[in-house]
Amino acid sequence: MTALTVFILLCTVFTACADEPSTSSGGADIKSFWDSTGLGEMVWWAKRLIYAGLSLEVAKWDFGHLIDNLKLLVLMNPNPRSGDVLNYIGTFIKIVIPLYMLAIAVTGFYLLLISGSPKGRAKAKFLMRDLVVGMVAVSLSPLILQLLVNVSYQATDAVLSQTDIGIVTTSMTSVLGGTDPVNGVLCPLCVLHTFVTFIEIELGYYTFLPFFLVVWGSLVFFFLRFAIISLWMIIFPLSVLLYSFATTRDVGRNMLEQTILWIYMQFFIAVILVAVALCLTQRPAGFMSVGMANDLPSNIVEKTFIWYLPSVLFDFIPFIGCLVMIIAPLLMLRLFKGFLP
Amino acid sequence: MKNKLITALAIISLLAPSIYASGAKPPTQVWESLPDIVKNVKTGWDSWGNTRIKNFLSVHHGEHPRLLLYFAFLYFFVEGVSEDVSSNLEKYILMNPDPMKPEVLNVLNFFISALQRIYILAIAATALYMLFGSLSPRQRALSKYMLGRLVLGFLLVSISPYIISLAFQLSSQTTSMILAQADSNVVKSEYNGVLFKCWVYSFAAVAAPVVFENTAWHKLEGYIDKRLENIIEELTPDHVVAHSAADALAGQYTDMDQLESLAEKSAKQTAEGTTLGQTLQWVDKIKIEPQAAFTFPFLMLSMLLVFGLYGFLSLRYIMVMVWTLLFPLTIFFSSFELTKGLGRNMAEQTIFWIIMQVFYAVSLCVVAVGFALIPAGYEFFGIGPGDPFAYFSVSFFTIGGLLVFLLSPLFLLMMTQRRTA
Repeated sequence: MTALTVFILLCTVFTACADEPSTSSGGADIKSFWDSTGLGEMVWWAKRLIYAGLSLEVAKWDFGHLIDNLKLLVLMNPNPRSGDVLNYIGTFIKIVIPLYMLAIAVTGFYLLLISGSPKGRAKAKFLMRDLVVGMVAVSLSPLILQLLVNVSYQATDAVLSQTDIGIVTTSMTSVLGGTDPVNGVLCPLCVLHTFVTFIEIELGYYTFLPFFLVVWGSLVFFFLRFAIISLWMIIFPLSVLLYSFATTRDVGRNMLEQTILWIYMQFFIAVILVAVALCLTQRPAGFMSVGMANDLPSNIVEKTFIWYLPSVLFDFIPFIGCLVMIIAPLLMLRLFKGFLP
Repeated sequence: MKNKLITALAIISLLAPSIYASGAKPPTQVWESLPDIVKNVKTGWDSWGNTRIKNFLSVHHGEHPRLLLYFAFLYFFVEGVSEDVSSNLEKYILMNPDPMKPEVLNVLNFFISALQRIYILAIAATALYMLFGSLSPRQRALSKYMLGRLVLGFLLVSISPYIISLAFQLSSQTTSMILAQADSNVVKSEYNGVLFKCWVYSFAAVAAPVVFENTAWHKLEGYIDKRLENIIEELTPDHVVAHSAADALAGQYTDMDQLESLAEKSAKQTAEGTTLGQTLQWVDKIKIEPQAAFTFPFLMLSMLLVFGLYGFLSLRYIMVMVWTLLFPLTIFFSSFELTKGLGRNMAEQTIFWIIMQVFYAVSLCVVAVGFALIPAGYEFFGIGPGDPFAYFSVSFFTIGGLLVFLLSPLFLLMMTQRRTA
């Protein structure tokens, strides 16, 4: 916790305690003192200032982490060959392998002892092949998962290296007092939030919500993906088992598809980031940036505080880019479902 | 505009005291009456400036200036949006990324070169299989077919930037042809009109209680207060008698001033208990404080219009760029039997996002024609006052038409969805 945060918290506690006194129960003298010294006015304004500052501080918690480590967050994957993930996979392998052995034994007995029709025998042979392949796949689960993750990681890394994705974060964080351009996503939101908090504090609650979406939405998405991949990795042996039998193939197919899609989602995210970066470099000046002025402040007078607010432009491209990144799982799961035979 | 507004405010502030100065006698000579004018201006300023302006600035932590500032910035935002829409709407609809630009081509070439290697490997493997491992005529035919598809895929992937560029040109040309048929100014003016009217209603929602309070409400309170004073005056003598009798019974002595004060107090309490007194309390209770929250419904409608337009157009631009970058992969996946479904989905998405601009143009035409075809008498059927202020109504037809235009991507999505059953 930074010193600034501690200071803001202390100020908040102070102003919350120093609430405006009521005139009842002998508080009239205090109220007159309160009004005559202007303390009440100061507390009223200070409360809003602190609310705006504190809420912005809270909303941007770990935003620096997101900005500094965006590439690492995109490339982040659980390792299926180490730690708890491997232990859990091992547990599932231990559960699934006996089932495979039982199924292979039953099919073997059927082939050897209950020689049915040629069609039945052929079916049993196919099943036997699937079972053996499945058992090998289950035994090699950590290696297969590692291969999938490695391929995804390398492809994503290669895509991210094709362009400078730093422009996406720069466009989001162009801040008050910074050099041109003064547009962006967070800067207008910060200014808007502070401004409307003083107009009416309830309005500030609504302008606080986009921060959740942009900052926390992005961070939550990366950790959500990490958690879901860990889940699918752990139950990968079960997915293979269910995929081996005709009756449970649909369930197994869905589970395997989900495993693959969530792993390769980082590639899709990388493409989205690269696309947003290219959109930002490619677009004509002012495209999808809207505000009160439609042009950037050109001189020092326009950059002073009173002229600053009308000069802030809200940039839709990085904002919508963030939204696309957050809804990418839905998009991918809808578009790419049913690709396995 | 900003300068005009500030100048107007400054002029009003400077002229305000002279309202009081206007009460001066007609001067015979200007310089003779100059001290009077100065004096009157000073008196006017003391009276007006010290009461009205001070009140204006200080009521509830400067609520009125804060609200004025809020509406000023809302106005400038609406103005900024409407200016942008008026001059750039067609440009925004026609906007496509250029795949032949070096930055985009660089990324596309990365995908192309990676896929070309895979194609070469696949072609070599299939050719080797045909030469050395071919067993049955069926398998040979299958291999030949596969080889043909691989070679075709290889060629298509190699020229994919040109293909996608051609698709953009076709789409862009069609869109501009359709846009040329539409009178987009009608839609733009309706869009801007709704934004401005929403601002007017937001302003009215806050200003109306203020105006009402300062006029009718204020007069009603004054009238009831005056009536109550009369009642208190009428009741006081009776209460003096009652209090002195009560004091006499209690064996106490009360001086006259104290007695009158007590009598007046009890008379006031009696008066407050009457219907008129109760009415005054209710009048005070149901008073509406102006709040920025009153503007929310209209603010939401404005935000829907702004985010609906800019959000979807930005989304389209980003998604077109995404599918442009993935276009070589789309061709690649379409080349293999196993991944054909995936490739088809990706190709559909590529086409869907590209032709969205055509659909936007069609919607613009349809909505423009629709606005012209609104039955007579229904133009102002919507939110707002009737005659003689019908011009300020936000028509339901207008809102519906604009929603059709803004949500046209969703209609296109519904149209192009494949039937699952």
